[in-house]
Amino acid sequence: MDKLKVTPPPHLHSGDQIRFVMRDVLVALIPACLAAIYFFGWRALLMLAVGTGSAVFWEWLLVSKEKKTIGDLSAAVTGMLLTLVLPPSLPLWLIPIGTLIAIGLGKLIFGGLGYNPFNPALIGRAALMASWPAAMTSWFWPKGASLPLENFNALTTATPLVLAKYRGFQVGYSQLFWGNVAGSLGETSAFAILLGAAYLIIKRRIDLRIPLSYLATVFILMAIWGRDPVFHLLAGGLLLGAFFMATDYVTTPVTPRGRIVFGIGCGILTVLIRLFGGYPEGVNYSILLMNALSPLLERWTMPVPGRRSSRA
Amino acid sequence: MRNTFPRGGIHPPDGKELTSAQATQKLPAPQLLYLPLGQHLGAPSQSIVERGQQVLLGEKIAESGGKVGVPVHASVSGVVKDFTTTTMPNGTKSLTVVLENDGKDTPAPPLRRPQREPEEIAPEEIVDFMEEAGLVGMGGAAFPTHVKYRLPEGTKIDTLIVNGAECEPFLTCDHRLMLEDTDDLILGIRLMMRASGATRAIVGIEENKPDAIALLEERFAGLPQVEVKKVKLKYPQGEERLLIKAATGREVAPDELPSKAGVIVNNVATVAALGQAFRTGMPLIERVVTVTGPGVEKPGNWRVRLGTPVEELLGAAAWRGTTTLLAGGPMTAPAIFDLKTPVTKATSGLVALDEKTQQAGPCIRCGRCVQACPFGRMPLYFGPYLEQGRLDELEDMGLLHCRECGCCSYVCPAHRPILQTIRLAKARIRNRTREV
Ligand code: SF4
Ligand code: SF4
Repeated sequence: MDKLKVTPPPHLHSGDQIRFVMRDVLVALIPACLAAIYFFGWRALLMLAVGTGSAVFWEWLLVSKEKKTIGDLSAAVTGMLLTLVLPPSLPLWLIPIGTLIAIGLGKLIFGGLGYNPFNPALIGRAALMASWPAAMTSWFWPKGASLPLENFNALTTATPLVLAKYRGFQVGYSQLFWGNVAGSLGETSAFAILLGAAYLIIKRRIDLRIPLSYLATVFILMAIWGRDPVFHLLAGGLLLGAFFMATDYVTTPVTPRGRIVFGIGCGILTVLIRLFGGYPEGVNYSILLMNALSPLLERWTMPVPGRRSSRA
Repeated sequence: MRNTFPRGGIHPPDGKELTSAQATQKLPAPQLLYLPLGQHLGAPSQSIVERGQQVLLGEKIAESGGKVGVPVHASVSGVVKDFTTTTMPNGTKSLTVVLENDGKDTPAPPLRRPQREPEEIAPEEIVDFMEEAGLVGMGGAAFPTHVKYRLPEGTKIDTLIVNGAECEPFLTCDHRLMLEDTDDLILGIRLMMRASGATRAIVGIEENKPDAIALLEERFAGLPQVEVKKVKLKYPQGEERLLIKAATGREVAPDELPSKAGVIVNNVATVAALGQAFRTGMPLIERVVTVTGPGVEKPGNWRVRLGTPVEELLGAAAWRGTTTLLAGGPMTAPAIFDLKTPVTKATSGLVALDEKTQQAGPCIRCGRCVQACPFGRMPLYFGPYLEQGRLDELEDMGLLHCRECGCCSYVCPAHRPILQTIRLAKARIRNRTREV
């Protein structure tokens, strides 16, 4: 007879695994990827392949043989998310640089998945933004998109947020909703993002506290400032950021109340940057800043501490 | 009033369909029985027999070892063959009396007890009887029952809660017992109400046992002070504090006893055992054990003499030889490694399953454990803090309020061994408290 195994309880498990979590996120990103390909052509597919593939490659290269971690799929998620927040005209060779920074400096240097204080994909994007600002802010409108202003060149032009901020022109809701506008690969179609978000919600992968408090804050503040709140929800990277970046487990509070405060903080910062900052868009930096505050928020919102046992 | 606890909890696959419809069968007493002297919480019992001595069925073979302790009785008639050390279900060792069964079941004289209606007996007499009968919590805790009823001065109990939730997956022994031993259960309830002074009794049963709920409701028709409380199907609904909350709405502070809230909780098996002992005069010498799991061909419920080695049960249930054998419900029970481990007063089940060990990954801070914890703890912190030796902070985080239900480990996608960490951390804190 074989020896009996002595394992600690519980002896039942939900069967959930980290890679299932990541797999669900990847699946949820499929609509956004398809929208990117639909609007920006096959180049988008190539970019996504390079981004996701290079991220996995870096993780494989940089993690020692004994504990290969690419199987947990988190590198693939980081690579795909990063690519989705890049402009569709970005030179291909910049993408692996971005993913190297995201995986190496954003995650592995801190000890790998679970220990990184900042969202790796956003670290990658912020680094590219700081180093190649021109490439990171050149946009083009999808073919066949009804161009908002006659005198705009169809290839290098401005995103709806830029138009709104500097030209006082606002793209219509339905165009924003379907995504037929200039912008980062995966950010333009609100429809595709919401479809993916719905999947994550059904799969119970994300807690709605963060995205809802984030979006509600932006909506309310924009309305107070007399801007069109619906436009600001739909334009730019807010939806993708709120549902896919601000919900990253590792870099956000685990406490329910902490999550609400986190979302509100992201919302306030995004509005401040969009209205008063030097950039038309502020989702990236808002979430990164709130990532930094996350441990603090978690401390403040911990459940009431227990009493100590009596000690002599 | 809500019929469950307010936060956390999980829905594991329950596996009860394997055995819930099967009537309890009697397992013939084996040739040799192993009666551990330390099978309950508290002081081990002191043997009062000698090697070679003849004993009768139900005869006392060991005396209570202290205030928190109970006697042990012979579960067959025969000869004291030996004294030995056996492995207990939880892996500890205990001095054990080995009985050789003569197959005759010649009974000892019944325990003395007043031949009156429970309501006419002095409470102390009932409490003494609980002790004499060797009663301990049969839901798994093995805490001597009479100790709960020796209340400190000034404590007033108004409610007896009978725990029939049986929220652990796979187990159906309590379910069967409610269906089959209803008379003893009712007698036990009356005795315990009398002993505690409770003016009402609530039997909490999870909604997945509608037949038990219906039967008891019908049988309680003539007893206005006794009611059935149907509680929601959610693990760990049978946890003492959570059941108190669901049944009465009262909260028991983490470091207080239920009696502080005017409540005593007993498992249905314990209550029925009291009723049976009182009716027959035979002390606690047997119990119902659910032998089940994917690893046995003939799952079922068995009425087993205490001290029966688990291999006898496995034989009866046609065990297929799985990797893992659990002495109780799969969420909290320890795995056993010795087939000679005897059935004790607290062995509610024997679950055979194959376990695949899953490599633990890093905590990804998903917060699932926080959402699942019925006691509002932050289980993800326990591991790192223990590693860093931050025991004070562990206490500040309410580690000691954790009731070890295992929900956190169950849901963790990273397969962190959280419950194991918790037990280690608690042991470290206890030891340190002792050292200081
Ligand atoms: S469930 Fe596991 S991975 Fe998630 S926060 Fe808790 S310990 Fe970490
Ligand atoms: S084992 Fe403890 S910490 Fe984990 S869920 Fe249960 S009570 Fe909470």
